[in-house]
Amino acid sequence: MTLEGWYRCLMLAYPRGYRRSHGEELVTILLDAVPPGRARPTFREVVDLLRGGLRQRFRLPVGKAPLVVAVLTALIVGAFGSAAGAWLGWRAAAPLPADPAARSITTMALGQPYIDTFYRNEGLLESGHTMMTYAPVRTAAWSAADARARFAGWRIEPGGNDWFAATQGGLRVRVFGHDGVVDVVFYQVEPPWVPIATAAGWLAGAVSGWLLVGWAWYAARGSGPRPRIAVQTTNGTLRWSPPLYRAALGLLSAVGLAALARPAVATYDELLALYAEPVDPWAPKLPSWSWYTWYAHLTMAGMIALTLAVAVAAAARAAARQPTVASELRDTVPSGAAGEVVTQGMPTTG
Amino acid sequence: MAALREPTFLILTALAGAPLHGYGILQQVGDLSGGDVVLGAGTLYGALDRLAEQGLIAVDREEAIDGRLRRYYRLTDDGASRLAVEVERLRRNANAAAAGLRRRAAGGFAIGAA
Repeated sequence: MTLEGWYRCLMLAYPRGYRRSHGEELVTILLDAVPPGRARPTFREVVDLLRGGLRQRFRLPVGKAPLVVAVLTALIVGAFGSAAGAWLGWRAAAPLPADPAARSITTMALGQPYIDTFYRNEGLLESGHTMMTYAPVRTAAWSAADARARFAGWRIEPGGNDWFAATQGGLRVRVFGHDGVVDVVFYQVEPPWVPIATAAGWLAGAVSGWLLVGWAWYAARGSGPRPRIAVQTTNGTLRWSPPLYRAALGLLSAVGLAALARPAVATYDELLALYAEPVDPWAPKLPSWSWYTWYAHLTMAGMIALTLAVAVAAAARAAARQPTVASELRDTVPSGAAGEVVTQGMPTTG
Repeated sequence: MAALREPTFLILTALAGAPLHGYGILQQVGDLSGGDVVLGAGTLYGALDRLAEQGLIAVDREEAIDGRLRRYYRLTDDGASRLAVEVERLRRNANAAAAGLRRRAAGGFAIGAA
């Protein structure tokens, strides 16, 4: 490959739009700087271009506000991504047993036949798939030690005088005897790649959140003040509304992020409890998406608002690319405000 | 107003005299800093993009020679005032530093003489 070919190849690090506007120029300056006899880019150049391309891709508009919004969005969308990743990771967990198999396990736990059904909690988005029964037994005849001994071939967590847990093939059973009742709770063992899927989901969410803020912010800014509508004030004069795209985008994003912030905070708390603090062997682990199902309404509202915000940003971007006659006409409607419109209609960026 | 970072300061300084194209800026920045600051093309274009967005520089003209595109950049009026503010700040700091060193030299002499 020629040196120019190498440089053009490295330009792929940059986003397409930037390559279109600045690509030729960048290749020219690279070739201008080449000392005679060089056939390959230097390591320094490669690092410089890859870093430049990455920075361009993750670029935000100048100023503190875009940075603050991008960090917040990355955290909030990242939490949602981690929940989605965890949910996907849990799809690989062994399913809970059907009633006949669960009955024989319960029979083993009780030391007497069990023929009843189970409370099941395993809806699609249910927070933690579990099933359980509270079976009456003659307490005097039941002991945890005896029950433990019946679980031959299971990995036993000895527990205490009145309880133990047993694990086999992705299924964990917790047995707890008290007051003439034995609780038998079945739950799925977390597959080993759930933490990896959670982290990958977080990263994907955080990166998308960040990129979306940059993209939407430039889209809103590029769209300029159009379209706006003329509003009649109480004293009869006409005034321009705020630029509609920007107002709508700001409002929808604020609503969306605020709605998703609550489950996001709870999710970070949950993740800390799951992975950063010692795990209580008693409790089945709550999967980290559980807060999005707990706050289902906020989650739905937030997702709808953010989806609409993205749609508004896309519309603003399309409008910025093709200034229509209609939007130019709109700018000149209230003649009293025309001066203001002309100055505000200047493109804000080059 | 936050201080300009050195590469930014040198780029604005390079453009203060006359519009330059990318490679011209790189050479000027190298000369101005006595070879201390060597910008890569990627770093330079990242900085140019930011400066253009802030309205401190603008595209002056484009030339295509031998099929190679060169875009010339110039300092805008905003850029010139921003640079002037920075020059003033640096001068103030440099004066303060020089005055401090003079006092130190004078004090050192007095103690040495005692």
